[in-house]
Order: sequence, then structure tokens, then C-alpha cells
Amino acid sequence: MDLDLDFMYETFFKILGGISTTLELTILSLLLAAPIAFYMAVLRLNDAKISSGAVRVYVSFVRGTPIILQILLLYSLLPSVLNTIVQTLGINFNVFDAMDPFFYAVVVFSLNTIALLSEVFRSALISISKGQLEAGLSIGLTRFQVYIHVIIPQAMVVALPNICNITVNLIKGTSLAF
Amino acid sequence: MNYRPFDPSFLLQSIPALLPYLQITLFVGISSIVFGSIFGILLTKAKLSSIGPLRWLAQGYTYVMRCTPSIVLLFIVFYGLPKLVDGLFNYQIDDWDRSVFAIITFVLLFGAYVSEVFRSAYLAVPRGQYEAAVSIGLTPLQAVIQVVIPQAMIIALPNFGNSVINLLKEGALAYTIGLIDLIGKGNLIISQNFGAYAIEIYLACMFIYWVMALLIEKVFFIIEKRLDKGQTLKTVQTVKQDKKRARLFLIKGVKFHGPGS
Repeated sequence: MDLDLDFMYETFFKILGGISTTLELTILSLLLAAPIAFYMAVLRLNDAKISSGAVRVYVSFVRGTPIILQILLLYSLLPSVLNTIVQTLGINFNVFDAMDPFFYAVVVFSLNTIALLSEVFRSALISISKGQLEAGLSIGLTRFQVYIHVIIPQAMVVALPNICNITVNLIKGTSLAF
Repeated sequence: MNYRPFDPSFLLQSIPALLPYLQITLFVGISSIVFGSIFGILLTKAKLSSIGPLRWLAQGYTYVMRCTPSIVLLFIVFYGLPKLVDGLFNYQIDDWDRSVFAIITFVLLFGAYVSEVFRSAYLAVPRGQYEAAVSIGLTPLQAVIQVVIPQAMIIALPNFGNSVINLLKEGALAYTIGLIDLIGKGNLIISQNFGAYAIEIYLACMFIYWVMALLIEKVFFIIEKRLDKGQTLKTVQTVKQDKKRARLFLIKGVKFHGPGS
């Protein structure tokens, strides 16, 4: 057996060109997922009965199924759904030709990351004691201000290692989008 | 263009057709877990050994494996291993069953993952336990086997359970090398219907995986509770009461109000 080193050398640089796609996919998914995941985490902490139950089922479903199946499912589901939407809106636009598969990949990985991130945010928010919220409210901040200025900066520190893990896994996971 | 509506009855019909192939998924999964754990134990032993090169080798191996996407490793093993064996030993393994290549891949991956789990669990047991056991006259081997490892096992259990679920999820990739497991069969059914029913079949597969993951989670939870019993000197009854109290506390005590409310 002999490895063709010249060929390896050549293809290495060709493959290197694909990095931009991988990174774009990762960063876009993370940016899209973060706000929604945060909202889900807050929903679950509020024990709103129906929505928190729905979030729990969603998170458990995403975590319990292989990501390759999620990709396969959404890749066969999304084009038809989009097409129906476009048709009912009456826009003359061919979904099947015009849409880049990249778009579907972003949707899949965002949906996946939302579930994982919402769990990370939830555990980070739980670790901040309730006194912080109360103290903030008592000095006259609004609830939104307390979250922005007091709770999120503290929770971010707790969440950071897990966010790093998710990002690394996401980069590895994007290899499945081929 | 007109579309066939989503057909839930086909989803239910396809589950009995898919279930026999769950065996293959489980066979690959379980053999990878068994051999992978053995490999992981060896790696842990190498990582904790006093011989430098052995330690570096094990750590380097784990590092590389954790950075490799499983699908890349699967392709390397499936396409590369027959060439390597042919080159080294002049022996053909091209016609081996595809499940063998899948198992080899997942053993390599799982071994690296669990070796970290085992290592951290082993180090989490206080050194005094080992010293106490040796001081009352056990040999070092006995001390490790009878005192340290039983305690380390409980610590390792939750992470081990997570690794098992992850492995089963990654095992779904085996269809990419043409193994007819759950998803492989699903893809076959889809091709038999000329590409129709893809959504239903994939959803059916996802449900099977979901149920499997939930079951494994539950089983590990029960084992953990069982093994933990001796540690806390609590009867089962009080544990239950404590849990009820803890749940009440979680609902009443830690109530968060978000910007949305």
C-alpha cells in the first residue's frame, strides 16, 4: 500500500477552501439559535404550563434523535413546506431551483442548537440566586434591565464552557451536511 | 404542483417493518459499547501509568479522536482499513461484513470518550481510600478492585450513560457505508416507493431512536439510584420524601420571571 502524498498535498488545499462554508454555517446557526434558546430557557423557568411542556418535549426529542436523521427529515420536509407557503402567497418563485442547500443546513443546525443551548442557558440561569433579581428590582430597575445588566452577565460566565462544547460539537456536526 | 398530504397511517405501518432492523443497530451499538469500554479501560490504565511515552500516546490518541467527526473516521476505517491490512499482511478483508467496520470505528471512538470518563471518575475517589485499604493488609490490586473501582463506577455512571446515548445516536451514521440498519432499511423503503414517504419513514426512525434514548436514560437513572443507596444511609422511603420536598421547592422557591411575563 502506498499513499499518494502529492495528491494529498493538492487536495488538502482544495479542501481548505471549504472551511469558509463550515464556519459560516456554524456561526450563522449559533447566532440564530442563541436568542430563541434564551427565550425558551426563560419560558421553562417561568413554569408556564403549556409552553414549558412543549419546550421540554422539543428539547428531549432533539437530544434523543441522531442529528443525521434530523438533517434527512428536514431536507425532505422543508422544500415542500416552503413551496406550499410560496404558492399560497401567490409569488412566482421556484423554491426547488432557487434555494441553496446551505439554507436548509442552517435551519437544521439552528433547530438542533436551539435545543442544546436552551438547556445550557437554563442551567446557567438556575445557578444565579433569586436575590440578584430581587435586589435589582428593589433599586428600581425594570425586569428587562435586571436581566440585561445583572443576570445575563453572571449567567454567561457559567454558561461559557458549555457554549464552547456545543460550538466544537457543532463544527464536528456540520461535517454531516455534505 | 400538487402534494400528497402527510400520511400518519403510513408512519404507523412502517414501524413494524423497521423494527426488525433495530436488532442490527443494537448489535452494532452494544458490541461497540462492550469492546469500547474494554479499550477505554486500557487507555485509562495507560493514561494513569508512570511510563511517560505510554501516557503521551494515550493522551494524544484521545485528543485526536475527540477532534475527529465520526463520519470522517467511519470513512477512513471503511475505505482505508482494507488497504492497510492488505498492504501490511497481504490479507483481503474487503468482503467482511460492513457491520464489522462500523463496530471498529465506534470502538475507536467510544474507547477515547469513555477513557476520559473513567479517568476522571478514578481520580475523583480520594487517595485515602486506597491507602486505608492497603494499610489494613489488602494487596494494591485488591485495594483497587475492591475499594476504589466500586466507588469510581458510581461517579462514572451518569457520564457513561451520556456516552452510551451519544454512541447510539452516532451509530445512525453507519448507513452511510451501506450497512442495512434501521435507517438503511428506511432508505430502502423510501427508494422502493420511488422517493415518496420520506418524511413518514424518517419520522418513524426518529421516534424509535427517541424512545430508545428515553429508555436508556431511565435505566441509568434507576441503576444510579440503586448503587447510590449504600452511600447515603437513607432508607428508600426518606429518599422519596426528600425528592417530593425538593420538587416542591423547585416549583415554589426558585420561580423566575422573565422579560416576557
